[in-house]
Order: sequence, then C-alpha cells, then structure tokens
Amino acid sequence: MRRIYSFLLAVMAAAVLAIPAMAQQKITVSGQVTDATDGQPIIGAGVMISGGNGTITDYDGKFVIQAPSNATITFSSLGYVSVSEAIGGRTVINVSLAPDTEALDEVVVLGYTTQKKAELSSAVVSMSGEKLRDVATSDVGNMLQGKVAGVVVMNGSGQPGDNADIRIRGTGSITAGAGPLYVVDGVAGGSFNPNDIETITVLKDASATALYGAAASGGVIVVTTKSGSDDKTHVEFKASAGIKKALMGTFHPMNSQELYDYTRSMYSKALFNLRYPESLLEQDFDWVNNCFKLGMVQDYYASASGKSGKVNYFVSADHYNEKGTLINTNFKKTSGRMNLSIPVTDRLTMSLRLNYAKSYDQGTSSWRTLEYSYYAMPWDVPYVMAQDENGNWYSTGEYIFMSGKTRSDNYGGGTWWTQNPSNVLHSESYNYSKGHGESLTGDLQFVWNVTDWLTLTSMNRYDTSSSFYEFYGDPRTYDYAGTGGTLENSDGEWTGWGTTDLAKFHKTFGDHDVNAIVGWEYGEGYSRSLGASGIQFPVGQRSLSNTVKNGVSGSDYKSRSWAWLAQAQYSYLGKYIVTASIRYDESYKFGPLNRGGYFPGASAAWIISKEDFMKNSFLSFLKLRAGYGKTGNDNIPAFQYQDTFSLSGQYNGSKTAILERMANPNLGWEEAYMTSLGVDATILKNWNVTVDFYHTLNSKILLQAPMSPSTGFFAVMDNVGKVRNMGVEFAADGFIINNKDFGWNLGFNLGLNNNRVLELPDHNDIVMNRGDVNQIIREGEDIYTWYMPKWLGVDPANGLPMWETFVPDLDESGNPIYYIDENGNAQTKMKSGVTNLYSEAPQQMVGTASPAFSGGLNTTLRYKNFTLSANGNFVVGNKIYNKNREQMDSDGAYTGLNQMSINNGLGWSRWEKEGDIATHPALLAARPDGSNGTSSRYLEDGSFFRLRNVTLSYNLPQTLIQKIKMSNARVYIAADNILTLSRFSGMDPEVRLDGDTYHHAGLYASNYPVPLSVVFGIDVKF
Amino acid sequence: MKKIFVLVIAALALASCNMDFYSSDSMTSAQLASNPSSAVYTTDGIYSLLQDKIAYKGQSGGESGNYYIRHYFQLAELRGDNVTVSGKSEDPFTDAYMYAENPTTKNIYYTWWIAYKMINAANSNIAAIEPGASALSDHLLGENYFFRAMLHFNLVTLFAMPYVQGRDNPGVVLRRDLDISTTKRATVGQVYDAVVEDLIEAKKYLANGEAERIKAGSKAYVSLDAAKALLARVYLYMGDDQSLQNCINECTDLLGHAPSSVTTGYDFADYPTHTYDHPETIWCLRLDENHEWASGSAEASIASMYIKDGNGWGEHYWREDLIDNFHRYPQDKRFAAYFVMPEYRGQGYPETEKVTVVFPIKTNEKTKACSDGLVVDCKKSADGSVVFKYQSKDYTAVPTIVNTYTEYYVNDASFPGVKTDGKARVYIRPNITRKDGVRNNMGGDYVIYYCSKFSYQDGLPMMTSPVFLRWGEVVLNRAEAYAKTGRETEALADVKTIRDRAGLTGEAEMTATNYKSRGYATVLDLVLDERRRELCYEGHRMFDVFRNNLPMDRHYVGCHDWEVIQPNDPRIALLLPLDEINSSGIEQNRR
Repeated sequence: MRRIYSFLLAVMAAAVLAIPAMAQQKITVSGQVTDATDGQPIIGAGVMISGGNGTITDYDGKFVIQAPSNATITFSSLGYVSVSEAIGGRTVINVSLAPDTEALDEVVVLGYTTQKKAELSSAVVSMSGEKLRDVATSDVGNMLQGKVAGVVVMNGSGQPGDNADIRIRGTGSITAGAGPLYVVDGVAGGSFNPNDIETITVLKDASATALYGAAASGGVIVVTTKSGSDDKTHVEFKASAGIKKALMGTFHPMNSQELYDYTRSMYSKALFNLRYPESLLEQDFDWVNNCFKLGMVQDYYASASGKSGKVNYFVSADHYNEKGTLINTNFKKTSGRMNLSIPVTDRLTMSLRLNYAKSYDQGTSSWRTLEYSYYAMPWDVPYVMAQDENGNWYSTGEYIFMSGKTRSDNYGGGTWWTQNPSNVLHSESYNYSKGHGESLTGDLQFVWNVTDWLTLTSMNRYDTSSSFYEFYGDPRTYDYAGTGGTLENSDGEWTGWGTTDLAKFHKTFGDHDVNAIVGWEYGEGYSRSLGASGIQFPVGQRSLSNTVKNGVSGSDYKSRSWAWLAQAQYSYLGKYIVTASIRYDESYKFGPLNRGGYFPGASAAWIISKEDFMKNSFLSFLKLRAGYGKTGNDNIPAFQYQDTFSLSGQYNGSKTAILERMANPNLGWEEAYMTSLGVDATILKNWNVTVDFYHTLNSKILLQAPMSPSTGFFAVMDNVGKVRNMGVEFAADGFIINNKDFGWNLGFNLGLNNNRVLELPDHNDIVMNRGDVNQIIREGEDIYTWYMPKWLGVDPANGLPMWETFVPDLDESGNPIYYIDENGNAQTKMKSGVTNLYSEAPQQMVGTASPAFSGGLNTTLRYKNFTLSANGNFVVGNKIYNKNREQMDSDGAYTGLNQMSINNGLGWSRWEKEGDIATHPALLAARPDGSNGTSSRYLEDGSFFRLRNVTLSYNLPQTLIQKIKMSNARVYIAADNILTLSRFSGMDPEVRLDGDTYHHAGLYASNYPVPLSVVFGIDVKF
Repeated sequence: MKKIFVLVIAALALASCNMDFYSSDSMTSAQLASNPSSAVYTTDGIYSLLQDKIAYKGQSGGESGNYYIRHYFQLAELRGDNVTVSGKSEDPFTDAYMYAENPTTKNIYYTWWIAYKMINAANSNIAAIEPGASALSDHLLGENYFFRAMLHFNLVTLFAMPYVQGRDNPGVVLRRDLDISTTKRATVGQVYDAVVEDLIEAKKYLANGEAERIKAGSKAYVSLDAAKALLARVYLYMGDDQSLQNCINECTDLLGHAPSSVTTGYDFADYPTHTYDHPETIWCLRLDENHEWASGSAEASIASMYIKDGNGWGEHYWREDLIDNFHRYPQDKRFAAYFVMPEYRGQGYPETEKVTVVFPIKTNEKTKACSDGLVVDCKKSADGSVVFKYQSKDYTAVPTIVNTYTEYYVNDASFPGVKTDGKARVYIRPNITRKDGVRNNMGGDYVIYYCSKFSYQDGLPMMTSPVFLRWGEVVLNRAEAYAKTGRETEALADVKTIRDRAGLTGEAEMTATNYKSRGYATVLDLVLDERRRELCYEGHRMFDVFRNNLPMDRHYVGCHDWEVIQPNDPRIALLLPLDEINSSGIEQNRR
C-alpha cells in the first residue's frame, strides 16, 4: 500500500518538477532503488537530475533516464531519506534508501490521541523502538540517555536491574517524585519489555501533559508496543551476549607499599617501627579486583507478528540475564507479550494485550561488601594461609573467618589490619539477599467507530504483581554469629484495575478540521505486604518454621483515583492548529478539602512552510508552536495529611504507640505552570532542527518542610514555595552524506536549564541535611546548592588545612568597624579570614549540584553493509560531593581504612615540608583538626563526557540471506561506556542529579560503579 | 447532541467517590483515642522511644546505633575520664570523647530530637489523662510527669553548662504544653525549676495505684521510688544548701525502705545479667528478647563498644589509672566483676609472676594524643622494680609509694614514655595481656581491657537492660550531700555502706582518721572517688566532677587531647544540632 501511495505522489512530483534540461552530453543511466532495510524494490521513487528533469521507478524499482554525465541524481521517496549520487560517467547506479523514521507524516502516539508529527503543537520527541536498543541494559531509562534534548538520564549504580533516574526539563519538586509518568498502550502505568517497543514518545511540555494531570509534572513517556499489521508473517530472533567490567575511573585504593609509606609518615618513628613490621610489604591483596569480577549480560528474544484470519497478532518472548561486576549481584528476567486485535464487526475492534514478566535479582548480603571492597587494607589476605615444610606461606583457598583483630592462622603476625573486624569475602560466600517478582498486565480495549465522526473507546487494564524477598545470614559468619543465624522472608502483592473511557469526535468542514475527546478515568488499587524473620538455626537451614521467632510485620492498604478530561483541537488549512484541554483529578493523598485539582492546557502551532511566501525556501518545513499548561503532582507517600501513630514497637511485652507525624489537613496538589515556545524546521531537506524555550513555575511545592527538632518532629509534609526552571533545548540531526554505499548521519542535542528558588515560607532558608552533608534551599539560588565550610587549601608554611572563616574587620587603630543594617541595628563588619580548625569554619554556599547544560550526540556511519554508530552524552558545570573521600582521603584520621592513592593523575600532592604548595595537608595520625570534615574540599567538578555506546554491525548481503529465506540478518558488536572524560576522583562521575526527600542530588558515596561492557549480537528476521 | 455532552460532563463532575483511606499499619490519633487503653499505649510509647531506632529524615537503615539510650550513655560517659577510646571511629561517639563534637552528627541530633519527641508525648498524655479517674490513670500520669522531668534534665545536663556555673546560662528549650509554635531557650535555672516541679507532680500521682502498673519484682516501669531517686539526683546537681538538704531528705526517705541488698551487697557480676528484676535496680529500661540488640543489631548495643565477645566492636577501654585506682584494694568485688581482659573473661585481675609494662607514648610529634607503649614478658625483681627492654634499651620501673599505694615510674630522660616532672609513669599488668590483644589500626596502639557492665543478660554478650536509677547511687547521692553540708560522719557512714558491700572492709575501710593519709584532701574527695568506682561507665563521672566545680584531668592514653578540662569550659555544653539552629534560629552554644 505504501509503495502504491508513494508511486502516485511521485508521479505528481515528477510532473510538477519536470523542467527542460539543458542540452549537454547525455548518457543513459539505469539502475534499481531498493529499501535499505529489507532490499525490496521501492516503487515510484523519484529519480531527479540536478537542475533538470526526472522520472520515477517502476514496479521493480527500476529506472532508466537520460542525464548529463557529470550531473547528480537525487533519489527520493516518501518515508525514506533522500540520497544524491554524482553520475561520474557511470551508466548503472543502484541505490538503497534508508527509511526516514523522522518523516513528518509519521503519526505520533500521544497516549489518549495520535497526531501527525507535522501538526503537533507542543514539544514532543518521538522515536522508534529500534533507536533505543543500542545499549546493553534492561532499563528503558538507560536506553534514552543522551538521545532527547532536555531529558537528563543518570544511572547512579551498576547494580543489575536498577533503573536510571530520568528528569525532563529540570527539577521543580523536592520531596515529591519528579520522574516522568509512563503511559503504556494508552493507559498510565503498566509494564513492557524494551524489545517490544514500537515507538516511544516523550511529552516535554505541559500543553501536552496537562491532559494527564496528576503525576505528569515530570513529563510523560508514552510507550506503544508492537502489533501485527499485514498479512505476511514476520518472525524475528535476536540474541546478544557480552561481558562487563566495573569502571573505576581514576580511583584506586593504595597498594601495600603505598599504604606502608603513607602510614610511616604520620607516626613517630618509635611507634611505627614497633607496630608496623616491614614484613607487611609481603602482603598485598587487591580487594577491589577480588570483590569485582567480570560480569556478563545475555539477552535472547523472539517475536512473531502477522494476521491469522481476521486477527492481527504479535507475540514475543524474552530472556535477559545479567551478572553484575560486584560479587553476588545479578538480575534475570523472563517476559512474554501477546497483543491481539480482533475486528468484532466492521466498526468495532477489540484488542487484548497481555504482558507477563518474572524476574530474579540478588544484591550483596551487606552494604559492607561494597564499602569494604574499597576500604579493606592490602595487608589483609582474606584466605586461610598455611605454611609448607619450608616455612613458605600458601593460600588454602578458603576464606578466613574474622571477628576481631587476630587471625587464627597467625599469617602476617596474626593481625587483621582493617577497621572492620570481619572479612566481607567470607560473609559473602555464605550469606545472601535475593528477591524475585512477577507481574501480569492485561489490557482489554474496545474501539467502536459509531459514525464516521464519532469513536468510542474503552481501555481497561488489570494489573497484578507480587514480590518475594529472602535474606539468609549464616550462623558461621561474623555478622550473624551473635544471633545464631538470621533468616528473613517478606512478600508483597499489588493488584490494580482501571478504565479509561473516551469519546472521540473528528469532523472536517472544508478547510476546517475539528477534533475533540471527552472521557473519564477510574482506578482502584490494593497492596499488601507480609514479613517475618527468625534467628538461631542450624547451618544451612532455610525454613522460617525451624528458627526461633524474631519478628513479624505486615500491612495493607487500598487506593483509588478518578478523573475526567476533555480536549479539543481545531486546524485550518492544515497549517493553523489550536488545541485546548482540561482535566479534573482527585487524589486520596490529600486532605478532604484539597483533593480536587483542575489542570488546563492550551497550545497553538503555525506551519509557516505551508504559506505561499515560504515556497522555494531552503526551509522545506518550518513550524512555530507555543503552549501553556498546568500539571499537578501528588507523587508522595499516602496518608501524609493524617497524624498517625506507629504501633510497630513494643515494650516489656506490650504494644506501644508512637506519634510519627503531625496532621496537615491543608495538604494539597503541587502545581506546575509551564509556558513553552518552539520551532521545528527542516533545513536543506535533510536537517531536522528543533529549538525550544520553556519556563516552568512550580508552586505549592510538596516538601518535607524541616521543623525544628525540638518540636519532636523534624519535618512536616507541606505545600511551600515556588521554584522556577527555564531553559533552552536544541536538537538537530541529518545526513552529511547519504548514497548507496556510504552514509553518514549526525545527531546532536543540548539542554540548558536554569533553576531558581523564587519563594519560601517567610523567606527562610531551608537546610536539607543528609548525614553531615548539607544543601540549602534559599530564595534566589539553585534548588541544589551545596552548603558547607569553604576549603581554602593547605597552608604552605605548616601543612595545616585552611577553611574560610569570618572575623571582625578592624580599622587602623584595631577597633571593629560597625555598620547599620536594614533593621537599624548596629552590626560588626566582617571580613574573610582563615582558620585551621574545622569547627571554626562556617557553612556557606559553595556551588550547585545542577549542571549548566547537558546533552548528547550520536552518529552513524554506513559503508556498504557495515554500520558503525556511536552515541555519547555529557553533563557540564555540576559539582559532585565525593563523600567517600571523608574516609578514604582522610590525612590520617582513619588508619584502619585503606586510603585512595593521591597519585591518580589529577595533580594532587601531599604537603611534606615548609613551602610546599600542596593539595593535601600534612599527614597526622589521629588528627584532631577535622581536615576530613565535610567541606568544599571534597566538592569536585562533575562535568564529564561519556562515550555511551559504539556499535559496529554488518548486514548480511541480501543475495545470501534470500537463499536461506530470511528477510534480514544482522550481526553486531557493541561496547558501552568505553570512554569517560572527567576530572572526578571517584569511580564514576555519573551520579544522581536529582534529590529526593533525604538524598542529595550530586552526592557520591561508595557507589557501585557502572560497567564497561562489550556485547556481541545477532538479529535475524524472516 | 450538545445537551447530552453537557449532561455527561456534569454527571462526571458530580460523581464523587469515597476517597478516605487509612493505612493498616498505623492509626490516626482519632482512631487511637477511641481505644479505651490509648493512654497505656502512648505512655509505653515513651519507653519504646528510649530503646527503639526511629528514622530521622529517612535514615533508618544506614544509621546504625541510633538509639536514645545508647547515645545518652555514650554522651554522658565518654566525656568523663574513665574511658579510653582508641581512635576515630566512623561512629561519632569519638567526637564526644574528644570534646570535638560536630553539630550535624547523629548522636547530637538524635538525642535532642527523640528527647523532645518523648517530651511531646508526655505533654499530650498529661493533657489527655484526667487526674483521679483511676489508680491506673494516675500512675500513668505520674510516669508522664517523670519522663517530662527526666528528659528535660538529661537535655540540660548534656546541652547546657552545669547548674553551678549559673542559673542564667542558656538552658534548653522547655516544652510543657502542646503549643510547639515557638521555640526559645529557657535558662538553666528555669529548666531545673520545671524539672523539680514535674518530679513533685510525678511523686504525687505515682503514689497512687502502684500495684496496677508495677508487676511484682519488675523494674521495667517508672515507680514512686524512681521519681524520688531522680529528684534526689536533681537536687544534688543544684548543689545549694537547701537543695542538698532536700536531696538528703529524699534519699533518707528512700533508704528507709531500701532492700537488704543495699547494705549486704550482691553478686556484682550477676547484676547486669538481670537488672530488670534485681533488687539493686530502682528503674531500668527493660530490654527483652524482642529488642534488636538480642538479634540482628547486637553490634549497635551499648555493650558493643565496651566488649567484644562474638559480636561487638570493643572500642571503649578502661583508663589505665582507674585500673590502678581499683587495684589498690584488689579484693574490690566490683573490679573483679566488671574488669575483663580479652579472652580471659571471668579471671578478673590475676597476679602473675611475669608482668607486662604499659605506658603512654605520644602518637606522633604533633598531636596531643597518646597511645600505649607495651612490653611483655618482664619480671619483677626482688626489690619490686621491673627491668624491661624497650626498643633495644633497658629501663627500670621503680616502685614508689604514693598515698599508701605503689605506683611505678621510669626516671630516665631517654625513655620515650610521656613524662611529668622528668618522670614517666608506667603501669604493671599481668602478662596475659597478649601482644595481639593490641588494637593497632585506629590511629594509635592500645592495650585492651573490656568492661562487662552492659553485657550478658540472658547469656547474650551484647544485652542488658540499661539501669537509669539504682540504690547504690542513692546512697552515694546522700553521701555527697552530707559531705558538702559538713556532715562528714554521716558521709563516711554512707561510703562505708558502699565499700562494705564491695568487700572493702577491715584495713580497706575509710575512716575519719585515715582518709587524708590515703590521698584524699576532703571527705568530698573520698565520696567522689567512691562514686567513680561504684558508678563508673554508667554516665555519672563527668557530671560528678563538673558540678563540684572541679577540673577534669584527661592526661591518659587515648585519641583525645592530653589536657585538663576546667569546669567552666564552654565545651562541657554540647553543640545544639545544626538542624535546630537552622530551623528555629535559637542561640548556639559558644565555643
């Protein structure tokens, strides 16, 4: 069908553009135009000679044309990217055209509605599922990284199965979740396998997201899964497998010699010689390399789609298996999908979609495993060592049990040097922490075309999932010897159902086109959990019934939501488009007074390139659009408006009641007002460029507003303050070269966001504390502003640490200078000074965790059947707090923890003698000055560029694969995270850029680093 | 058509669903109040808050050791002079020990916050419980008055200067009603006055209905005796003549019905294993097998820092000269009961032919902290001196009689041990102090001696029911009040009670005629020294020294500065939590 349609269009185009060619030496050129993806001939493709006439291809995709021998031929077809070829005297030219997924007639799925891309009036980015799947991950967030302007994806952990954080156009919320809303096949929420994605659409501005009201303030990601289409049966197999290695960046803990020299320089000679024998140098165990191993990732996928009788079908199955780089971390997932579409009558269609997934995951049995892979001393060998008859030590290969400073094997003098008296490798070899879960999502959808202008749809979803967690602490291990073993089991289940019922109107009156929907949504949910633990059991026992009862817990609750919504769109001449929408939501998370919220949105677009004056412009497409909308956020835990007592405690055999929370009956919606302006253009027929400006005002922000702890509460959930985000987004992509054998495509996107806190209750600062690291929320500042003593370096005279402090400014005679403040009070004028004592250094603002800009670039090089593609992303201008250095770069404060080597290529140096200009203070055992206290000393530039993925693929020649009845076969090798440019001293500069209630944006502790991976894969289609 | 459209919209807007939902694992105040025994639940909630780990700003899992009782006992004890801490731990108790606390660390903010959470609960219970409704409700009312007093008292002793430094010094925030809209610091005097007033109220209500709440033998709940004992302590801390007389009156009232064990004594080693029903206890926090310290979080217990036995970190050790202080009367049952050498539990302090020499040595040339020097396998000579080789040089530890007790000194300029007046004091220990008993990775090197005062309840090394009030303290409170009001005979009699039950009779008795020759300038000195031995590690020592306006000598091995802390040193008042300063703007303690 597509080919015939193209044929007709091309005939018309050829007729319009046929201009008499200049007389010149002409030759006859012939050839065939084929589809680059499947090798099928393209019927009706335009074949145009530069400055001259043209023709179209026939039913075999073939053409014959007379052309000057030095001319250039442009091959084009609707839905494909045009290719230009210089004739260069050739008489046969065969080209293959790549499908243009960005084609403007492409229909974009917006969730409730669909729309032609050209006529979109808000900031929307859509891409095919194929574009996502270049990285080795199970998480769709990771796949989006660096691909959409204004969408920042940060992956703070290498834990298999973990999801990345996604932020669309900055963060306006603090406590309430600011992540995007997923809409899967028209209904909010639901589960899917990334391999099943047909298209993914990111709705960035509120004129589009307002229709989703609740929880859409973080943007909306619309996922559409594949469905069967034509009569032909398509079968696809994909397999990939690879290895992974943890990225450690410039970070490395000291080896034995480094630690020995380091320790020697901070002790008195007498004490050092007594306590640190030279024989320590014989022990040099690399804990990082023993706690981190090569990981592995595998993915196997099969799908079939087509039509059987009247039923369209799509079925798929997937098995994903990932072994993390840190010991005992892994993730496995098996999933299946079935999408059926059944025409009940010629006006009523019923669709059924089922998605099932079962996953298994495992993490380390203790947080210490990760921490002590960095902290453990190289002088500690984790194996039981024994001596042979010659007195030489050898490893028995068995991990040694440690519960104190004394090794049972007397190796290395019998001392265990690491502060933690246990051997984490020993614990990991016995203990485990595992979970598994399964989920089933079932959609039943009816589409009833009542008349040619009215369609009624009913989308109904049932969603159920369950999870199970098991912890086993072996009685033989350090942590659980005291309890005689600890066993914990917990399970949880979730069941929800919902319905979205819409009436859709569509009518065209001459040049006027009117579209409208009205509908409502209703949903209910139920969740339940149960947990139990037991202690004191024989080694290897796995059943709770054979333990001594230790604890039980359980809870359940229900939830409900409902909304109504309406949208209308009017289009005149297909170039002036106006859209307006409104939604009403109720949320059970707020008090009875404030449950309802109205969320309006409006947008307009003008397709300028359709105007007469734009004819023959270098801009083949130009659209201006503007939008305004309001969204709401209720993404906070339930029951926050109620005062509640916890009854989980007990005393002397009786239950106790503890007041957890103050009531806040006025709690209500957080609101975001977004204004945006955008331009979409196609330049030189090839380059698609989008520029967006936006301004978002978040008000009545949901915040765990700090209370003074002397009230007995540290915070109350409240609507406070206003935060503004504004920014610019730019995206461009296109071909530099595109001909039969060679193609080069480039894409680039950039997002600049500026964040300001505009208003706070009583204009008071809010200090957000996490451990002993603070950020401050202050009017006029970025929402993620670090607040800590300011480091001034090392005093060259004595090697002592220096921080900024403020001292009275004195006049010439040594008296303090006073001034009168705005309240008429006399104040002492202060000036900057220096202190060597941490306790005397005041906190101040020292930079922000928000990046100035971020973005990505990607490129694809195609030569014959080879394709090389690469994509990278970058973040610039943010500050990361490296909390790990408080322990591992502590100048002698911690002598039982290994230290990071300062010989890391970042130009660091240690003060040793008077006059040294150094980055690090003189070493001092048990130092009292707090040189390793939280200060801007450990605040580092978080900018980085990361080559996220490089893939080299090879499409087997059509001649070969057609013999074995395949339609396509591709093999590839892909590498993730092979290059990171950064000045960060930790393992990985990619840290969470968002904060939540009690987690700072940009705070880096002992993280599980993301891996470098190399994956080999094969895709086969029949 | 249009009409239908309008109707549909109207119908949808009017369709209202029930949107009231409640969690099944918590109760709203209205739900709880409908329960007839809600006051029992919410009063027991205060006991729960003393012992439970409650998430502060979402930090539950990562913040091990966040228990009010653990922080309280550490903040009160580690700033005294009984404990040696070997080096900076990731646990901020070291900061308190070093008098270098940070206003953002968990022991500071958690102690403060939970105290006020408990005070709030008490305020709300006091407002809700109608006096005189029943014997039970009166008892509950009394408990709530007690807690409001105790918590304000704990706060004012930790976060403000001692009472004797002035009533007008900044105290803590005083909360005695449900209004929490304003926050300001009361003076120390105002806080003490409120504490006394509340304890008098507590006594009034606790006098009713004793049998309803207090089960026979159990020391798990606050009783009338507890209110009297705490009131006696508060009066003692105030220290003026009238208060001292009030203290004596309260103690005399209590001791009039004291259990016989107060004078006859008891098995000291056995006491921590069941404080909850022991006659010595007046009130303890009853931890049972359901508490985290009995299972998964044993290593976050109070004991975990004092001892290492299976679980535990063992980071608090006996100060060396406190060992000698006890050892001058080796028959002291308390010493044998609580002094533990690693891996030699139950052996007390044995006399061995071979000995070990221990002495302070500078950790490095710059800091003021000291580590232990250690020489094992030495022998006493016939004249009592010990010759030992340290870093290939021979030194002699010469015995010297100081106040009837033998101390050892090395008088040699080349000796690397820390010297005072050219002499270095060394300590002679049994040589079962094995070399690998040295903990040598925490910024220094320390000889380890554990204390078992918080261990072995139900056989578990990390378990105890921490004692807040006991009879031994009551006797010594009266002794101190007597000593300070010039009634030396009565003071010596009370000291004798304590010493007798510890086995220090006969030659070991302190009398009006011998105490000066034994190194005590005054009877008060003697009382304070006896308090130190009786109550060591129970969170009294710092208060004992400073309320008597005495300096605290911290010249001993540990990662702290080698210094004397004067009773007016501003560091005695802990810094208030930064979260409090940042949100309410009240005045921070000076430094």
